[in-house]
Amino acid sequence: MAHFMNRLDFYTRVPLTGAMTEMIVKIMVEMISTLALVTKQIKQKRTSEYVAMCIPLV
Amino acid sequence: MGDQSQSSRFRALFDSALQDYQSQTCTTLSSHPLAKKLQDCDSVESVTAVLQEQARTVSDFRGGEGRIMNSLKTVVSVLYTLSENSDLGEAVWLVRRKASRCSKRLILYSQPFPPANAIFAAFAILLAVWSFFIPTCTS
Repeated sequence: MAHFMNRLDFYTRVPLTGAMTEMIVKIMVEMISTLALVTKQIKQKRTSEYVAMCIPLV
Repeated sequence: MGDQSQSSRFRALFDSALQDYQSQTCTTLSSHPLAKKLQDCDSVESVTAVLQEQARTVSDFRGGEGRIMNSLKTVVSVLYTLSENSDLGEAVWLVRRKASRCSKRLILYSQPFPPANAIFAAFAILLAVWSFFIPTCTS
């Protein structure tokens, strides 16, 4: 994510070409996908921790 | 014509990313309350304030408000600057949103939903999910 941001930060300081616009769009799409994956994994991990806590092994 | 087809392609990419987000997280990004809250923000500071609100619990738990917020401020500043750039074309930023069911009918309509806002909302939701589950970690 930090690499994506470094690239985007560079693009804020120069005039955009078509290829750069395409790269920005692709980076932003990847960021949405990455955030989806992390959110899903946190939900799953925390939910399984919660279930394990609520239903102790007999 | 070339610009138009490029814009359509970009919109398709964003639509696909939003659908992917929905299928992975069971959350509709564009209609989430945090996305609506972020849509009213008109500056880097106001967006950062919404994220800071969500980050507070996480920061309290991890004891590193500065580190989390510094990273988020960079993200917000860069994305906000890019979304303000007219070179990117307004058409790129239009993403279809679905209205909620009304009188047994699903009304579809288009409304501006900038990708930058989608990313801010995704960050805010991530922080909200993270902080919601923190009490279970500590016990």
